[in-house]
Amino acid sequence: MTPSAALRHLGLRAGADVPAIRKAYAALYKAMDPDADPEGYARLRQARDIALRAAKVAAAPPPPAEPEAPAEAAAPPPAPWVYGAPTVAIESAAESPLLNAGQVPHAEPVSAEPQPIQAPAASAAALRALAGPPLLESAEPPRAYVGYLAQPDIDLARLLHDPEADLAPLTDDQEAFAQRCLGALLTEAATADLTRHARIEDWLADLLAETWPRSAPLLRPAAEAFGWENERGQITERSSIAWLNARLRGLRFQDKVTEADHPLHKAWVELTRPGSATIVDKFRIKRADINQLLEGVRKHFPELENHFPRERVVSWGDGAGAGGKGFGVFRIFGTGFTFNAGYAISVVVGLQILMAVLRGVSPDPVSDQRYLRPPPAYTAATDPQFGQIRDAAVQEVFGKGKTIDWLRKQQPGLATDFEADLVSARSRGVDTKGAIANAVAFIRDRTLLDGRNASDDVLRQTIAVRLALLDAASAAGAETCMRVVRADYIEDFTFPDQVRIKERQLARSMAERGLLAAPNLPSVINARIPGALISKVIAATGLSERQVRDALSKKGKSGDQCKVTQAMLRAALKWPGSEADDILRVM
Amino acid sequence: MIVGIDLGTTNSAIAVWQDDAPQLIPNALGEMLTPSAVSVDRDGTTYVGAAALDRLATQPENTATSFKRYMGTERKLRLGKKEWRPEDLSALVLRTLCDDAEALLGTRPVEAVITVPAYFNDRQRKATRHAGELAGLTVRRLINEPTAAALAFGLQDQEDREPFLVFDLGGGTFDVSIVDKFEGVVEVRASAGDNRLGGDDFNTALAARMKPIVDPDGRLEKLDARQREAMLHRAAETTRRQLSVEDKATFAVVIGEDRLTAEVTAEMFEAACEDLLRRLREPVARALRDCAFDVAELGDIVLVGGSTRMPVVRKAITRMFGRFPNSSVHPDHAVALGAAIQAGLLSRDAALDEIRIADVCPFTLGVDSVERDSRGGMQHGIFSPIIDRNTPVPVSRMSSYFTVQDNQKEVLFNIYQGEAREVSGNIHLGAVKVPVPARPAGQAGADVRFSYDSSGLLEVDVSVHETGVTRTLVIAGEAETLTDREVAARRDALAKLKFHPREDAENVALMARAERIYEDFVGDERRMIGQWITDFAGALDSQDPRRIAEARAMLQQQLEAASGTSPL
Repeated sequence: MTPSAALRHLGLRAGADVPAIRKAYAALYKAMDPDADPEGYARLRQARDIALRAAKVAAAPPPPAEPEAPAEAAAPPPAPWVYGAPTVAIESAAESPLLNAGQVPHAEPVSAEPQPIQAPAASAAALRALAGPPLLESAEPPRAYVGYLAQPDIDLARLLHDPEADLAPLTDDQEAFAQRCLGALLTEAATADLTRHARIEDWLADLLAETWPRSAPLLRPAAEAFGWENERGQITERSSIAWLNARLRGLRFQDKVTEADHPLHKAWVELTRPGSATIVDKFRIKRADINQLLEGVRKHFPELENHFPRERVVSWGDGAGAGGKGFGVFRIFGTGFTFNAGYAISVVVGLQILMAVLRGVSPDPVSDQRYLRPPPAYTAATDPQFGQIRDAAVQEVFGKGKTIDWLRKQQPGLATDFEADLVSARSRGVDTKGAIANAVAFIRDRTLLDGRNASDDVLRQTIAVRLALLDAASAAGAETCMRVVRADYIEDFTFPDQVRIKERQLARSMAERGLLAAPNLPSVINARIPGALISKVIAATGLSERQVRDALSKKGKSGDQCKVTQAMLRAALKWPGSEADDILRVM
Repeated sequence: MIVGIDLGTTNSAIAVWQDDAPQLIPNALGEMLTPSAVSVDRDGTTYVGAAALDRLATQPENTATSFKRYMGTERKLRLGKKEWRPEDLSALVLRTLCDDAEALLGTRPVEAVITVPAYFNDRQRKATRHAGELAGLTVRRLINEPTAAALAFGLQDQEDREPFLVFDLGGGTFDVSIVDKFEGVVEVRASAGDNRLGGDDFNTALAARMKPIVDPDGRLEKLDARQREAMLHRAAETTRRQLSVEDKATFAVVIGEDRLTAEVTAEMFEAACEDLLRRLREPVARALRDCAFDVAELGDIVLVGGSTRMPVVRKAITRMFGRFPNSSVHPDHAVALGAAIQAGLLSRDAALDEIRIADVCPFTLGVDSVERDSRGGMQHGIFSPIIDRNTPVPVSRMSSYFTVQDNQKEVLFNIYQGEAREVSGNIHLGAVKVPVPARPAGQAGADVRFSYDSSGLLEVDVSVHETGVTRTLVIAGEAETLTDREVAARRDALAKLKFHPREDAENVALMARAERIYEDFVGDERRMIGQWITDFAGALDSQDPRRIAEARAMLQQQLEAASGTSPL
């Protein structure tokens, strides 16, 4: 319903004011029987609400023109409170990012009287801006955690956001200081009016969420003061609160499990110790308990896994025994919820892929010669063969009949990179054949990396090509295969024609869709592999579970890693679950 | 004639629309408030009101108070040899109120508007309606307490008002409503509350804080639990009242011949009820969020309910809103007066011709549903809201639902009220089952329409798309668990209870009061009060009205003097 339709519904003309709207509404309402016509009543209310809103907007004075931020900064304002005063300061700081630390700007014209700053409408975004890094870069983090708390909010935000600390846990004196800041804020909230109360609450919730896990010791007192857990499971639970509530349950679990009478206490102690588990440890602690704890933590409180040194977890086989043996149902922590033991093998893969990507975007010329500008002695213009080599390379990579002009039309940036790559190769004295092989490798690199980040059908075509490459390479030996597994740049191996045909098709279709840009960091760098998939891999490769697990952790024999990669990709291509895409992207 | 009744946790009141204004009806003792207390004698004689409340001290095992807190639950209270449902006890209070109305008006009221906390759920509302029926009343409407108070406040004059907030903290429940008044329309914009927070909780908090101080040796532990609780509760209540007018008070309990006392300061009390004061904020914030108002947009903060007299509560309110609250309505009378205005509206009184009241539905209403998660699994028991909380009533809304299994033959809709995402956390109101044609999953569907009218009646219509089959379920506020005959039987059972004649009420109440005061003293004073009681009992036995009247006046005088010397 438009405002004018709403006014018509109320029998009013355009321009009616608030009293007229209320009067018309009251008359119509009194004339009707809402119980007999609830929908008519709803329409009438709606018309009234819309008309009132429009009338209030029309009646409000136009907003005053924004004063220009002065080039020179004025004196710093009195100690600002994040959820109250300092919006003004922040907004102008954003407008003039060149201001130095200490010169906190003032949005009022310099000539204006210094006034107590009132910003009742400070938006959440503006508040976050204050607490966030932009200010911190230009602010001194507190060094001494003592003394009078003039600005507990700012001190707390600086302490938690400290870029040097990089979200590391607070030290004891830092924590004591943070708790004092929090205490001051909570006291303020408890005695403040509701608007201020809500502002402090929202600001704190965002700050704690943003700086997790550094903020962990502050969560419990804050949650208690604001009753965040009462909101749990409600339709209207705010998202930041929901996130924090989940962390709160993690802290509770940690409390319980660190007490000696918890059934998983021994497993917890074991997994939190440094170094690898010894044979003695493995006799002492039940493997089932270790698995149960790992599974539960990974499913419900993933942040708690930080307490387990990676080496320790790996030495227990990383949840070994849980995967591959079908879907057992475990009861965990005695709270009655169940989960599939087959899930939750978290495989961190893609390290080599990551390197390959970084290679493509590396700004460091020494680390990779291929992206170097050609030395001045060599230019394409001085090379009489360059045009010929380039045309041959385009045809070899994208298929017969394709030219550099075609490529420029599809993806101009790609054409530039392609030529630069050829120039680079030639400048290093590579011959025609080698330069063409280099071009093939260059595009292969891009298709495989970009294809992984692409949407479903391109992803699957990419994986099909990758599998063809892996098959061909493994026929030539495990080491060649491993080079494909690691997404190395392979210039010295010639793949069979049927593989090349597939590669060309993929390269062509991706170029036509403009997908072969310089690769980005992959969006997914690790994946959860369902136990049932591991079973399939074991069946397909004939390897032991241990060998499969090692291969997935990039350990063990090259041949095994190669086989496991192939089998896993094949299995994942057929897997109906939503985990499949992530696995295809990281393997 | 329709009466308006405020059936409260601590006190109840009855009012009637008469001579173009709502008027409170005094009880047999000439007071406007009747304590919501019931006590039973060994011989089965039943006491209601002030006499029953005084007997809480002397006969805790035979006396019940604050039973409103158990309305809508299965809990039974034992008084003497019999177990009572909270509805039965409420019905006795209602009946006593009707006796008072009959005495004043000459005719016995048969129709009533009864108030309930806005945050009372459907079960609690049903129990209240049920209590009315057991008292022989036709409950024409249940009206929310803050809405009634808003009517009383809003109709004090003809002026339009800025949106105001009714802050209703009673003996056992807490409600907040944001209300707009213009052109004679009183419109509730949002309600929220906590139906387990009230003055009783402040007593409990204070008693818990003072118990170890006043009784370091644990002598109270040796008493019967019910007696101990009653004693602590009463001591806290007295202290709390005293703290409403002074900065200091004495918390005192009497064990045998000893009187244990401790001093309580306002600061100590505030510290003891810190958590409760914090809980006052949440419903206010929720109501403001729901109607998208800012604190600054509110006009008056109207205080209702006896517990808002506490200075600690007033201080918390002043902090919350950054201004002083409005106390222009009588906190104990406003709800009953509002109920009488609603009664006048229902009987279409000409003086109220230009007045309309529009309320909201304070809870979310919906059905349970199945959702598919990202792995293709099915999540059962997910609450699918149809009418959101704080929607203006009457309202009618529809949603469509589809089958989840191939060749499913029927669909069962379970209807819930509440705010939890999973239906297990909400209140089940009823269920409708409809047959659907066998089709692949998702290809057979039904429309569910919820209609919620202004008297709190929810009607659910389900119609199947393919066949046009419809089913209707009316979830009335009626007590559907009992048949008419059962209601009649229980009504008769209550009617057979023995009461003192109404004209005796004053004597009965005075005797109970004397016995209560007797318990508060030790030593010689106690013996002296005992003598007065014996004298009064002798006068009563003589059945000589003149002698009884003299003895009553004498005892009243003596008790006043004694209480004056008592720190209680």
